[in-house]
Amino acid sequence: MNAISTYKDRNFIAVIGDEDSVTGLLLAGVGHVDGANKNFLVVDSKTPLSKIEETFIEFTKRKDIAIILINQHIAEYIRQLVDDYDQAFPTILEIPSKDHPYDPEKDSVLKRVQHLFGE
Amino acid sequence: MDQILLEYLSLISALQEQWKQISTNLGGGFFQLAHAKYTMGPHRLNQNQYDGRMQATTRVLISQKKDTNMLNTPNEFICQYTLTSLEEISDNNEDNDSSSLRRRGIKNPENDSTKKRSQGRIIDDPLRWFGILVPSSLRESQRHFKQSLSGMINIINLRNEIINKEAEYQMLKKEKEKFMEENRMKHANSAEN
Repeated sequence: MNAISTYKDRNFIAVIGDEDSVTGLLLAGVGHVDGANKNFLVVDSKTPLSKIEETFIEFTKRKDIAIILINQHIAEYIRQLVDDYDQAFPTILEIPSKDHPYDPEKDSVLKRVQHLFGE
Repeated sequence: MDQILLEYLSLISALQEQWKQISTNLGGGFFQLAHAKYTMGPHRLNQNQYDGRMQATTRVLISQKKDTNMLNTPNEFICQYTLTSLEEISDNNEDNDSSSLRRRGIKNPENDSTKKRSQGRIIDDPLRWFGILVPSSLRESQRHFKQSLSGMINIINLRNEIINKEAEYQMLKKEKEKFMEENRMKHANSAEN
């Protein structure tokens, strides 16, 4: 029962990404603003690294977020944080962006597969 | 064991296929977005135009799916993510309300009025943030992004299944090794005798 209560309130999708990715996903209807709390962060060349780290940690600690979508190239900036993350909820998915297409080499699942087959 | 490995590999190819689809969809979405930016002018379509009162209309539900095919996995349940909308969530709540009303047989006027209010509320379409007459490319872009979003949910589900299958495979592998070791010991003993 306790396990159920940990995920049933989680139904938001959070986004950390460049302006176009965030605009697109907000158009799809994921954005939610509740007072000062937003569930998205637009990262541009002026965004300090500490801000990305802070937001990422904040999103992982929130109890109403089910999924965090983060642009793969932004995840690279905070690679250590993303790789060390081991909670079941929220789930993190790295998504491609306009300037950085999907790179299977960096996919965490495919990395595991390579490891399993000893490559 | 071989069968699990086969299932595992087919899940992986499904994952790769899904990624390919998402990439196409996202690519289309970005292209249409760029086109909309071009027609609307660069300052009409940026983060300053977001509505500060936005409410998420697309949400996810997490449920647990029990896989009956699993033999003996460390975690019996796989988390299943489903894309849902705000309307569905509030609809479910309303259903619960009305069923409890029916059970009691008494009409609660307060509940009734909240129901009407939630039905009357128009759910804001994010397209409206950028004006009333938006170019068709922006609509097209929205459609692409919605599709990619459901693809992303599929990816997450596939990923969970893959991780589970992997755990299952590792467990069977260990069992097999143990069994082989025991067999070898038996053989060694009988050879000594």
